[in-house]
Amino acid sequence: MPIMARETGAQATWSRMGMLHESRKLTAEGIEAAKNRRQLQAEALLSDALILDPENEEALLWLSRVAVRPEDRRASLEKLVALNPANEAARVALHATQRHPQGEAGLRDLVARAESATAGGARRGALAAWKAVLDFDPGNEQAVSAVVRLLGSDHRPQARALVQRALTHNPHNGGLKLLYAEALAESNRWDDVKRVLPTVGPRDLSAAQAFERMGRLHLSAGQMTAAREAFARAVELPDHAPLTHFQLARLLDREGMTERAVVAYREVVDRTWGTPEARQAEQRLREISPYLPRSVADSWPFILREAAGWVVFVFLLAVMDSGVRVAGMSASGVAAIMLAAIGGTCWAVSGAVTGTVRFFGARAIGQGSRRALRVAGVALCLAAVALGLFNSLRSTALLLARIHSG
Amino acid sequence: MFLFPIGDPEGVRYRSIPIATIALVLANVIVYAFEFLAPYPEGYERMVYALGMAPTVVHNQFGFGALSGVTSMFMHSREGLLSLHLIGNMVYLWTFGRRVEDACGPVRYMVFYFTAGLCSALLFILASGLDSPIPVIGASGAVSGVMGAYLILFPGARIRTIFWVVVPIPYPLYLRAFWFLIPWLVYQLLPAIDQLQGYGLSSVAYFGHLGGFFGALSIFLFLRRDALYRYVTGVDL
Repeated sequence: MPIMARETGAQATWSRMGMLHESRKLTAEGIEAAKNRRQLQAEALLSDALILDPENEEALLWLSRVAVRPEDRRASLEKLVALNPANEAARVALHATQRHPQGEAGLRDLVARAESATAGGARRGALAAWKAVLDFDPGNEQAVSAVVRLLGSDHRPQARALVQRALTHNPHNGGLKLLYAEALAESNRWDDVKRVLPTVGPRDLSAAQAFERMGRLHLSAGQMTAAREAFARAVELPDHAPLTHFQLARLLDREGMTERAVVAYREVVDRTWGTPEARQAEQRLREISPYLPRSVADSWPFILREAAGWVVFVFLLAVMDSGVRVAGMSASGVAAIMLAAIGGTCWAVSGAVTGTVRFFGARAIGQGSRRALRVAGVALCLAAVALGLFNSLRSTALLLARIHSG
Repeated sequence: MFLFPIGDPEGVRYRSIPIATIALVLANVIVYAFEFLAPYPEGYERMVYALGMAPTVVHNQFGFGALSGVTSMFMHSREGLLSLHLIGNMVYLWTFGRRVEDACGPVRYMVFYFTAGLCSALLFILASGLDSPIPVIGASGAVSGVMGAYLILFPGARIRTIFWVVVPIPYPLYLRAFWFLIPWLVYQLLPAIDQLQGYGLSSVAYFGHLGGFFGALSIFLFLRRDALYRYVTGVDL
C-alpha cells in the first residue's frame, strides 16, 4: 500500500509539472500574440494559461494589458496584487486604473513628463512634476526616490516624512523600505535601521544597485552576514558595480571563506585594474596564496608532469648528442619524438586558445573542447615520456651488455 | 622605428626576488667580460668558434659537440664596452623572465630556459643545414622561449614599452603582452621565411628565435603546481 501511495503522489507531481509547463508555453504564445497586436488571440491564450496555472503572475500581468473589457483588466490586476503585493508594476497599474481618469496611460504620461523635467535640470520644475505623480499615486517608488534625491541632504526630515507616507500607501515595496532605512541611517538611528532592514525580502528587490545599497546599510549597521548575502546577490545580477566584488571579498575573507574570497579578489583585480582597491586585492591575494587543494597537489598527473619536464630536457640533450641523426634512432625513439610533438601541439594549441580567449575576456567560449584538447595533449605527452624512458633504458641496457661482452 | 620593453610593472605572487633571472643575467655579463678581455680579434674569434654553436659541430660531434648548444646561450657579439646584443637580450630576459620565473620557481625555470634554448638550437640546425659551419651565439633563442611562455601565461599583462624612433621617446606605453608579442612573432616569421628561401641577408638567427618561441609550449611541464592549477581552472596566475 505505501508503494501505491507514493506512486499516486509522483503521478500528481508530474501532472502538476506538466500543467505548469503548458501554462508557461501558452503564456509565451500569448505575449507573442500581444506584441503582434493580435489582442483577441492573446487574451484567449493567456486565459487558457491561467486555467492551467491560476497563479501565473506573468500571464495575469499581460492579461491586464490585453483584456478587452476594463473590468477584466482590473480583476487581473487585483488578483495579481493579492498574489504578490511587492509586484510594483501591477500595483502602479491598479492604482492608476482606480485613480487616474485616463488610467495607466495617464500615469505613464505624468511619469514621462517628470523624467524629462529632471533631465532638463530645472530642480523646481522637476519637483513639481514628481509631486503631480505623487498626488495620484502617493506610494510610487520611482517618484519618491526622485523627490528624495532632488531634496538633497538639506531637507532630511521632509524626505523621511515623504518616505514614511509612501510606505503607508505601499507597505510591501522593498525599494521604499530601503529609502526609509537610508533616511534613518542619515539620522544615526541605527537601531531603527536594524529593525527595518530584515523586513526587506530578497524577492522585493530585483536590481543589483538595490542589493548594493542594502549591503552597504547592513555593513554600516554592523550586520556582516546580512551584508555579505546582499553583496553576493548583487554580483549575481547584471549591471552590478565592479567594486561590489571588493566589498564581498573582504567580507568573505573576514569570515574565513578563503576559496570564495580568492575568486572575488581576482574579480576585483581583473575588473578594476589600476584602482587602489585592485592594488589592495592584489596584496591580499599574495598573502592568502598559493591556494591549491591538497587533493590536486598530491594527484599523480601533477607529480608526473614535473618529472616529464626533466625528461623532455634530457631527451632534447640526447637528440643533440646523437648529432641530430633521425636515421640512427630506434623506432621507439622516433615514435617517442612524434608522440611528444603531437601531444605538445595539442597541449600548446589548448594553452594558446585559452590565452587568447582569456585576453578577449570570454572565458566561456569553447571550454569543453579546450579541456578535451588539453586532456588529449597531456595523455599523449605522458605516453611520449613513457616511451622515451623505455627507449633510454633499453639503450643503456644494450650499452651495458656490449661493455660486458667486451 | 621599433618597440623596446623596459619593464613589467605588475606584481609577482610567490617570490619577490627572481634569483634565477638575476643569476642568468650575471652569468651572461661575466662571460661577456671574458670575451671583452680576450685579445681581439684572435682570442674573441677562437671563443666564438669554440663556444658558439655551429650545426656541423653538433652533427659531426667534434669540439664541444652537443654542449655547444648550451654554451652558445651565454655568448654575445663583442661591440665595445656596451654590447647592444647583450643589453637587448638581458632587458628582454629581465622584463619577461621575472614573472615566468615566479610562476615556475627558480629551479624549474632554469630547466625551462635551457629546454627553450635547446629547442632554438635544434630548429636552427635543421633550418640552416646539418653541415653549416657558421656558429650562432646569443641568449635570444632561450629568451624567445621565455617570451613565448609569458604570452601563454599572461596574455593580458601590461608591458612598459618605449618607442624607439632614431632615439628613444621618453614616454612609456603600457602595451598588453598580446599586442607586443604577436607582432614580434610575425616580425620574426617573415624574415625567417626569407632566410629559408635564401634571400635573407641579415645575420640574425630568426629560426633560432622561432625555435625558442615554440619551445615555450613546454612551459606547462615546468609550472608550479599551484600556478598550473590556477591556469587550468581559469583563474589568473
